[in-house]
Amino acid sequence: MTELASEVYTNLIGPNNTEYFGAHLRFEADVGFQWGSAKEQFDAYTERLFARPLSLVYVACGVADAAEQYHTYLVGRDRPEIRVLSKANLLSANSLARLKGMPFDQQAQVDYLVLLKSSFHAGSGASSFSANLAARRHLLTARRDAPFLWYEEDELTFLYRGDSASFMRVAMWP
Amino acid sequence: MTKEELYQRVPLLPLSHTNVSDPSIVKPCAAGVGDQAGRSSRGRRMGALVGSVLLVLFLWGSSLRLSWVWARESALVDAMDQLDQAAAAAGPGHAEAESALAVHFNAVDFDIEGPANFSALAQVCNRTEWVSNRWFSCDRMEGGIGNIRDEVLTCLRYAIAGGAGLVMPSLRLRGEVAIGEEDLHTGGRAGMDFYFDVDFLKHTLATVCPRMPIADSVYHIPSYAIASMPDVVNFKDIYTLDTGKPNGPDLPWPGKQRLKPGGGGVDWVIALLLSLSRHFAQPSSTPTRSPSAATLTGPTPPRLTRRSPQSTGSSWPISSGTSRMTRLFSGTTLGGSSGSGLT
Repeated sequence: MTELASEVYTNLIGPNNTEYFGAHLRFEADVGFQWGSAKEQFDAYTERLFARPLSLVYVACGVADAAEQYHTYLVGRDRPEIRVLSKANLLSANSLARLKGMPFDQQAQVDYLVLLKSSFHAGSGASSFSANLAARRHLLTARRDAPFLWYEEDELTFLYRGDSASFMRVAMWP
Repeated sequence: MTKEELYQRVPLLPLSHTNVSDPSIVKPCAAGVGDQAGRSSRGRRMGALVGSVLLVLFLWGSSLRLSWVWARESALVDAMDQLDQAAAAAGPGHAEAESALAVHFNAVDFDIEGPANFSALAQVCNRTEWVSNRWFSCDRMEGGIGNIRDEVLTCLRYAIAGGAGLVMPSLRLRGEVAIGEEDLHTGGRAGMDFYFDVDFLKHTLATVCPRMPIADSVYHIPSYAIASMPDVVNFKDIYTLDTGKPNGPDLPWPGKQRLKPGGGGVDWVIALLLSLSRHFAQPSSTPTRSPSAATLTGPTPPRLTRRSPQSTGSSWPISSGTSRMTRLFSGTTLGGSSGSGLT
């Protein structure tokens, strides 16, 4: 996983070490109403994206074309220049084949590692995946001095509907 | 670019996030939080983890022999260390513990800011009273990487707090395509290497926490053949010990306790474990397990007569009422443990 994540990460930031917005979109077929629709997540994430000087988005989602969907949305918001990529766009053919051969949860670990390094992470408040990222990013940086996510947003992380699973904010190990 | 070079790169976080050490950090700690996939309820997820925790106590002694595997890389223990600052920063011997650590950490596994500092964890381990032949097993953990990280760290922390050996956790696999179906579990099992570099985890623990024995499974515990297993422990009941509140939506998570000023910090959790362990040190009527000689490692356990309660383990000055401790084992048995009840 680490090797694949390294490849994704290296190709994502490119030679200029481009900073990126890490988005964990959660609108796979299994999600319930409490997660919010794709449109609602796009709206909320985009508000945070536009507030920052970032023009590169990494999307983690179990939906194969989530990155394309989000870019289409951004075109509709008159920001077509923002690049939206996912791990499927950033791996060589061989590596992609390796990735596809892994169980779903292992593929998601590649996303986990890449999102860990994003300049800003937008995730789903009901997701332990995002909550874990939020906790780890918070506690492994200077942000650890600040109160920890009693609110749903800080300078490292935004959790959409962060109040929907607030128990994770007080109980999660990073 | 090689993997090692990549690890050396400056992370892309804003530069204002310098690495600081803050002894006031408290760590959240709870046995399970849920990334509920669709229809899964929080209670169900919680119950699954709760039920997966099984404490194994061995009432007869045989010395533990471990074969450590030396390797590299993991993302588990460093996080524990970061969070144990609160427990260790105030204690003496900090500098000595730090200089004594020699964990190879040439791969930081995408950690955000530099290599991990294990000294706090080492201090916690040094302070721990390790009890011979007490083991902590966390079986069938479930969820994605977010949940599993949380569950494994919780397991490790409880094992250390109880002065117990660690049986490497195992995972319950989920469906690869059918996520969201009524039961997304495939019935498959996996070891920790599904997500993590197990060798590095073992190496790190052997270095930082050298008195903590590790077994790959319960079958690898040297005295497995003559072990007795208590029932599955209901962690929900453990939580209520502190507050007296019933289980339910307002479950008093340890993290909440610990994040509140004056909430007791790490001592709160440790005290629970000490109570728990003391109970396990009592002889039980649990039948002896059948030997499974093919899976045994280590020396053949000597046949010993059962010790008296006073000599079987804990010397911790914890006085717990019998009724309270009995309640720990009378809760719902979740997760399908093979243990026998103590109640």
